[in-house]
Amino acid sequence: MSAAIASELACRELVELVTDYFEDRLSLDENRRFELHVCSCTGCRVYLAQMRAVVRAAGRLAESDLSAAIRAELLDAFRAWKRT
Amino acid sequence: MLAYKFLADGAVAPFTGRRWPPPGPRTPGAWVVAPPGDLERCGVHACRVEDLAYWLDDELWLVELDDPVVRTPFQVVAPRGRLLERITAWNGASSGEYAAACAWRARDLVVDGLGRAGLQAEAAALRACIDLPSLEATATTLAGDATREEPHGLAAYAAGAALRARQGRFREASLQCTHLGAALASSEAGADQERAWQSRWLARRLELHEVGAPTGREAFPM
Amino acid sequence: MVGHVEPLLSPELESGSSHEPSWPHQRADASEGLLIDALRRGDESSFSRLVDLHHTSMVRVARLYVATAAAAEEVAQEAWLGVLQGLAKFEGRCTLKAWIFAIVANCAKSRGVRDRRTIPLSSVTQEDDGGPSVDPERFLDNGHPRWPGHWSQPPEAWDEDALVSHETLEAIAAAMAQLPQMQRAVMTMRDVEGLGSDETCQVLGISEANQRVLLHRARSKVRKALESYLHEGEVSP
Repeated sequence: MSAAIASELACRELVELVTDYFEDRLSLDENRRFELHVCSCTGCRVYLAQMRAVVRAAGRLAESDLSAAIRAELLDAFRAWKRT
Repeated sequence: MLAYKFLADGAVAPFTGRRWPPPGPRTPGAWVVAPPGDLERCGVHACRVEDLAYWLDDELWLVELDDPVVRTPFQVVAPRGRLLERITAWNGASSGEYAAACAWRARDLVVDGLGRAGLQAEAAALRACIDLPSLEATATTLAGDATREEPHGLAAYAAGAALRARQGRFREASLQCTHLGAALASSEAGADQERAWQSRWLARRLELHEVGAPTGREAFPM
Repeated sequence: MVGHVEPLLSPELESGSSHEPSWPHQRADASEGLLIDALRRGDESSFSRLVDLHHTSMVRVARLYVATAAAAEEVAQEAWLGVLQGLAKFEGRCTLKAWIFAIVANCAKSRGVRDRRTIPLSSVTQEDDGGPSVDPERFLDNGHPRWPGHWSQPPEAWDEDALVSHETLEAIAAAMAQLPQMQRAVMTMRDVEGLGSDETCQVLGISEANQRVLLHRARSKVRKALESYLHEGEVSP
């Protein structure tokens, strides 16, 4: 059976739109329907927060652990390049 | 102008996850400025009293919006805004009351519907419920497997609202009412009517005042 | 960063133009410009600084194209030469990072051709079956009288503290390592390295629409893996 309110997003549709939402690729109208749904649905609110958390956490993978040996090698290469 | 804004716990914007600067004891919060671009898309969003029911969240705040404020479906949008004051009347207790009020509203709507359909005994049975557990049980039994095309099938929304109200889930309890309204009216206007009822309930319970009319350019929805 | 004062509040706090959770829009900024100028003059400390800023990212990007960590390290080192040689031509119309990544990608691809062991970053259609992001069983089916398509098993909120732990980050890294190659590449560029959408498309040579589909699939898979991990304590294969 179709939903009582045809213009509302169903949760199954929303989860496919999350990236488009983050990328600001939804139309104004779709954007509003997305946000309205999130406000009336705890599950989708949680899902959105989880996707945000995934992105944030991935950003923390960008640790920078450079060994002294590699830094020294690169500096040597730089000096060699300067001489050319 | 002044307006209202719902935020998640900790004054966090529910969609971006970013924290709004809180007001001090005697000072407003710092201005939050929208980036350049189409105002309706990029701007600071808030709501008027009639929009409240659409945007429920953990915290309710009074906000100040800078001109020009634009009206859009269910919202107002401004180039910048700042938090003035937390509306502490909206809290766990009042949101629980709200959820319950939605359940009883659903009950009343279904009773009306049953009455109009000539199902007096069923209507009476629902009207006789005096607490949420009995409302849930009675409405569930009444609904059975019926669809929303059938008058007693609509009782499932009342059962759903009662269950969510017992769980303290105000978002879902109010959504049950909203859908019930649409089903009864066989149109989305019925849903908007229920949202209007919900917003009025919130305004009364939280003693919220109609905020100033937007000045400047107004964008009317299609 | 030289000459850069962090504003007290992000001006894009309630940004409608970007719902992106974490990465502000990036472009070549003044401090990068100073670094590049110094580098062009042969300043060693600037080069060291640049290495500190970018080398490990370069290795990560190289690793998207080559088979081993050792090979990725070699590609990254080779790419530095390309950076130095190309420095005179860099105009700052994109971030230095994006420009460097493009050089890394080129080096990796040339090396792959030389070694005859390229892992070509294939087109979208070969990546996976493109099924739904969430198991359909988690939703009520279309026959439901009132709530078709709504959650039947909604996700549970994660404990924010659990998300910063070292073990959780390892689980995320493991999940990313299992992604199909192109999805891994896009999510690495966008979410790990913080490149913007345009720059990612330029480095990878794909359209914005393709990039978005790949990003969506990648993030959805990682979310699902993270959900299993937090729920059951392991990243499933």
